[in-house]
Amino acid sequence: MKNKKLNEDLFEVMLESAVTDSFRREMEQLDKESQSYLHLQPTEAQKKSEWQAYKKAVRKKARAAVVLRRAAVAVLILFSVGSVLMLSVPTVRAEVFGAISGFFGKYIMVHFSDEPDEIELGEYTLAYLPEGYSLADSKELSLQSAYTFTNGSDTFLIQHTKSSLTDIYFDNENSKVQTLEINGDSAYMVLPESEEDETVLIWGNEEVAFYLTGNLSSKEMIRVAKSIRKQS
Amino acid sequence: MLTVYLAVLDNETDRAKIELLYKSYYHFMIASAMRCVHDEHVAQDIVHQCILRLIRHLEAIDLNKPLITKSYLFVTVKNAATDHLRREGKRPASNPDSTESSQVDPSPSPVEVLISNEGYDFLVQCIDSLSDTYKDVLRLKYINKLKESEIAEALGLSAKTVSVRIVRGKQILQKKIRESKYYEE
Repeated sequence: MKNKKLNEDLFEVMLESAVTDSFRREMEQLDKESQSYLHLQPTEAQKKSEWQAYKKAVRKKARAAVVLRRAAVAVLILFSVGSVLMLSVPTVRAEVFGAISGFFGKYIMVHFSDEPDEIELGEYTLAYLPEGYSLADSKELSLQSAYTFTNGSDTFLIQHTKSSLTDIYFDNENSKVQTLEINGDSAYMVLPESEEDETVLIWGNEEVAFYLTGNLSSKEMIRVAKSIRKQS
Repeated sequence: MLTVYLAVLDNETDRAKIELLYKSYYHFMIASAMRCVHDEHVAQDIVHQCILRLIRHLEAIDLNKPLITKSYLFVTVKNAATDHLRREGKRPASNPDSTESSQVDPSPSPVEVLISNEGYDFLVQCIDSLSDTYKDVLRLKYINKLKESEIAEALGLSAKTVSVRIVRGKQILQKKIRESKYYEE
């Protein structure tokens, strides 16, 4: 029994090898034969069949493109209809508009100038300094300068920068904002709602924007702001 | 013609594969078909149809293994050519599956005979002399390592028919060996 199985296995191995060798011999002959068909040109039937296959392939690809385009249009329509339907629901509409107006209601943007950057940032001096205050720190850069003044316990900061670079956002949700004029320029004063917050005064023109913040009273801040002069 | 095949395919890898297959094996396939049909134009049509069919089964071809590729192409083209002849009524369809088996000796295979060089060469000759019906399935089984179901798909046969042809092909070989001068009990 064991011998029979062994014989069968051996026969399988030899058969595999012999089939391969038999085929290899035949292929050598066939390779030689194939050289005599190098001249063959497509027959009429072939050309017809090729053309049909080509048209079928092109049609298939065109169909796929159409399906893709239609799917894109369908998605767009569904999205548009969905958006309209959603907005037609009063609560959804209220939420959307609420979110939009909420942002603009909470924040004020101050933009003083669209002029290009050619305008150079000039030098400014402070004609009035509240009593007891002196310059503690200054940073002067080509586009922006910042000066910190202190009387030992309280500080205030004045920054000025090129207007074209400045878009100032400030939160007006928890603050009271007053509009006023500083030396003919539009100004905004953000008054703190709590003692932890500081008063902020922002004003500017086409050339320069100022930002003044600190523990000063609003009256003192306005006085400091009005005393700023450009050096000639 | 290659343009047509390339137009049919979407995948860049498959296009490269069919291009290589066409350039390397087109005339080989023609020669394979010519073994059956003996008409160049008919052979061309058959090869064309075969390539269109192969495009749907490109995964069955590994161009890194030329002998296996040749075996697969040779058998499928020859099979298509045989089908063509059958359709044309030029050669009546034989049904070898229902004959020959009764003549086969069911005794164990004579392996001892084959171990000698002469015996082995005789086995190769026996395989050469087998009809294509058996040779084709044996080639796809032993060279291409296809399963019976895969051979069936490649040749358009049922898996059972393939199984029967493999068994009978081997029995015929064993019988030939037993009847040869190399076999001495």
